[in-house]
Amino acid sequence: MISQINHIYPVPSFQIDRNLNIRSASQEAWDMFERTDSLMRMIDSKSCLKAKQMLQPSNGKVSFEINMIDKKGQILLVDCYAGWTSELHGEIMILEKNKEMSNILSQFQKLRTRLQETDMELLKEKERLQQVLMENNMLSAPFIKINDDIGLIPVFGIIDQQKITAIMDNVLKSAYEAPTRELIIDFTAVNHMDREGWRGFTEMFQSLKLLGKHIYMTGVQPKHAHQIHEFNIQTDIIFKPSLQDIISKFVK
Amino acid sequence: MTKHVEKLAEQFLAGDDRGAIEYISTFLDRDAGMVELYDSLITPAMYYIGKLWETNRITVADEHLATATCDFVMTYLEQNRGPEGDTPGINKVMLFGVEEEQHYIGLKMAATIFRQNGWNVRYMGPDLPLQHAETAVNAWQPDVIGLSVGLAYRLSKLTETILSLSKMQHKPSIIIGGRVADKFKIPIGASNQIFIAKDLSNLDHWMKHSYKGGYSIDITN
Repeated sequence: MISQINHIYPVPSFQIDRNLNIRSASQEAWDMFERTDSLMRMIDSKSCLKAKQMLQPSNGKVSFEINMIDKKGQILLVDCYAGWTSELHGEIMILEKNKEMSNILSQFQKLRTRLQETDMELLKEKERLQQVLMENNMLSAPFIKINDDIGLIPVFGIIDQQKITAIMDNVLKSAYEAPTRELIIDFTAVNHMDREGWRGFTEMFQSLKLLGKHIYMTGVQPKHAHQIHEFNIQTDIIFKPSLQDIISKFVK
Repeated sequence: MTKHVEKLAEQFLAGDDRGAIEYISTFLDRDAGMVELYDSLITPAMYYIGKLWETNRITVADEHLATATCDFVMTYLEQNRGPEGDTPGINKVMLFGVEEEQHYIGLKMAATIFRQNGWNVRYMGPDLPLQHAETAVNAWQPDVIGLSVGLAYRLSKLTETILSLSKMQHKPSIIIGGRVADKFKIPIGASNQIFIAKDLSNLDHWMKHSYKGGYSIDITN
């Protein structure tokens, strides 16, 4: 039979024996915890060992922090203050952790969750942009049939390895399927190119030649000419000054 | 190694992110990669911090500061030493902690190791309600789902999560990691989908040598 302690302090407290059985308890203790005759039953399993080690008569007066389970089944972080009047008789007072601290901790957790959500949004956006970029790349070298003899491929944007990888299949497939022998690649709308991009481009060129195409390149701007020279990659591409010139020559 | 672990734990507890980064940097420069750093230094340092609480030498508030510092340090190290390039491969992994599980450092480490192996990673963080997890998995269809469990009494929640996710139509593989992962009993019927990673080196090995795509996992490796 557990008797009641009548402290003047409004805090949960228990009188216990060395096996941590409850001998008496304050009203506040039963307001906070489910009625039981063993202190261990109201301690969170991960804190049990700590509580057992701390609550030994030989330790004398101790204060420590553990997780307990309240009436609602919620885990409660508490400070415990305990001591022993004899080998058989101990007292323990339980104070719930300062609410301010748990408020700060939950605030902290909310901030972390928000950062995580933002991170996820950014990741999704990045993936969407990568997809858009890929589609954009694939569309930036369309094959246009001018007549049965002439095909035109205007290239848009920058020329880098990624772009070449994206357009290569489409260009080769369209060139293979089209009957046109003369193929004009127009660089008017090309902004920037790098060495790897140009290397990939000359390789695509060789493949087009193997398909039996006569290839001409137009729209090369002075900055491209300079870069092509600098890259120093061997090529036998035939350059023509303008798209208008070459089309009028063929159409004549 | 114990000396390194205790020193790092001290820096985490003091909130000394710069000191920790510097200390780890000398350790990493000498002879280690991320997997070794995580398995032999960061994980033991965090376990050691848990032990300090169990022996009444620190408070939960100290633990929170140490976790936040560790989190910051790991993010810094991944940004500065992580995998090169930003084009992830075709394998997709989604990582999260089951509902109410607040431990997330292990998940973050796993995310780094997946990224280093060229995986496309979605890290959803800890405490993800099952319903949200199901929606996310359905929408993104990851090849692999990685779950972390740090406390024994979350094991029943983990079982519930696994039973639900293993029934998904595209049959994702499921990896379980965390402090009590080895205590998890794999539910009957889902065994060929599940792999329990003892540590990150084990996970790294699984990715490199055992994962062949699809849901059949050779758990003997």
